[in-house]
Amino acid sequence: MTQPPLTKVLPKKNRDYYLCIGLEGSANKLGFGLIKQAVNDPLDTEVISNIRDTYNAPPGEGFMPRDTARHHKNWCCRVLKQVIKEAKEKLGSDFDLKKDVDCIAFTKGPGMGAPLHSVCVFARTLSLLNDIPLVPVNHCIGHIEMGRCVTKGLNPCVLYVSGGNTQIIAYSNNRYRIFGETLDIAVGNCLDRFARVLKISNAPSPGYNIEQLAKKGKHLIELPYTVKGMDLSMSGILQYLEQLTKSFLTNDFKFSKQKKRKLLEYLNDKDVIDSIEITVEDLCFSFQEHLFAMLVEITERAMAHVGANEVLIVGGVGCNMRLQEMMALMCRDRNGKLFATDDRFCIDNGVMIAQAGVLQHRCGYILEKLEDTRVTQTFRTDEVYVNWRE
Amino acid sequence: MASTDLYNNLPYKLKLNIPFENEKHIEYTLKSGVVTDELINIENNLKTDTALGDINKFVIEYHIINNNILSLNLHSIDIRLLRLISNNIMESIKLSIECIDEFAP
Repeated sequence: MTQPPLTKVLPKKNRDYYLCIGLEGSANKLGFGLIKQAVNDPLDTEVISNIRDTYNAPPGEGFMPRDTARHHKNWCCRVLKQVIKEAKEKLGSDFDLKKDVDCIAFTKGPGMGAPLHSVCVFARTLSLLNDIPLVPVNHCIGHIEMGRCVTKGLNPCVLYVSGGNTQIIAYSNNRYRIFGETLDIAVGNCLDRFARVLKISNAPSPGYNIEQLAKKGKHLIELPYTVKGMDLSMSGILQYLEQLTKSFLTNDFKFSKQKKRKLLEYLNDKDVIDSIEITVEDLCFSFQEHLFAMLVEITERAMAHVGANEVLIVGGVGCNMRLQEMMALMCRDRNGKLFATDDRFCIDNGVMIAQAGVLQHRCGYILEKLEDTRVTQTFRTDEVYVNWRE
Repeated sequence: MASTDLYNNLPYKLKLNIPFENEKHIEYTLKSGVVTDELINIENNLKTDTALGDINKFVIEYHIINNNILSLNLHSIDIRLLRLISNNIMESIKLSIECIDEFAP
């Protein structure tokens, strides 16, 4: 079998490693990172710098494209200066952007148009100014490649769960194939919108705050559960819970006796049900349990389908410990293995864009015209030809 | 449709002169998508769309004066659109200039 063409372009100064800067800004996180990747092993990557700045909307509101783009424009230079400062500390004070960096990778899509465009303009200027090759990267591929690199999983089924995407992916014939995905909204978006109803803070992230509340939840209430083959749907469960929560909040944080009996019907004991007081924590707990059970179910089905025994969770929701715990239980029952990363790599960051970008660069990616770097809001994972894997 | 006809049909105009250090920097700013993206958009929309009607709502022409001034002429069908375009372009130019100032080799 032939080796993938991973050394079509050699590193600058005949080094035994590549240096790549990754610029990410597809949603409310602006993340820039610098990585050092060994020539002889593309999974041997050292993170030199990983700086992120998050735009947080006020509680009860989501982040708007215009405000997010303005945030990114304001922070681009400051974040990159911090990356260069860290690079000089780790690689030596003679580190020079123009002379040392092999390529600049940036997110081409998918994501929100205005923030993507801000970072793209910055990436193009930086590339032209310093004459460094520019590599447009698919955001989802960035997550997958960074997950593979950090966990060293060989060929895992990938569950990609974030604020904008929910996909179950497996690699086959030079493409990351989507086996199942959400039919409407993403799981992260679902959690964020529930947090808005409860007016939970958006810092550090709405999902994290829901997770903390859910840890204190004791009683599981019944919610809709919508898995359709390999796909799932989450807008129904969200709307149901939104209505439920609004009536709960207006009724002084209480449910009527009748409603409570319906929500806890599975307990089959009216006296026990009447003695239970449902709290906000219980709502968060039940919401998480239902959503994550749906994700675990489609992941298990995908594993059976492709004959894999490894699962890799990537994306912002992937750092939720309860999701990791539920997935680990499923993997244990199947004699499988779970790979997950922490918030440094799960949440959007520049390092993952750099990792995917340097792989494309090594395989000889050449930007033919600058128009090819135009950002796109819809850029599916399976559109990318993965020539760096066998 | 000739490009000058296109300008004449658009009643609202704004001229911006932006000084740069040299012509190279103007080229980087233009190439970085400040104007080129909008121009590409216009080129794609030059034909009248049968479903949407006339969608040529704005035009940007630019030229370089004395090798260091970028002169932009914005033409728009209404004042609101003109404000929107000029704001977007100014913000993008600002980002490019900031990048050039900080990271020029």
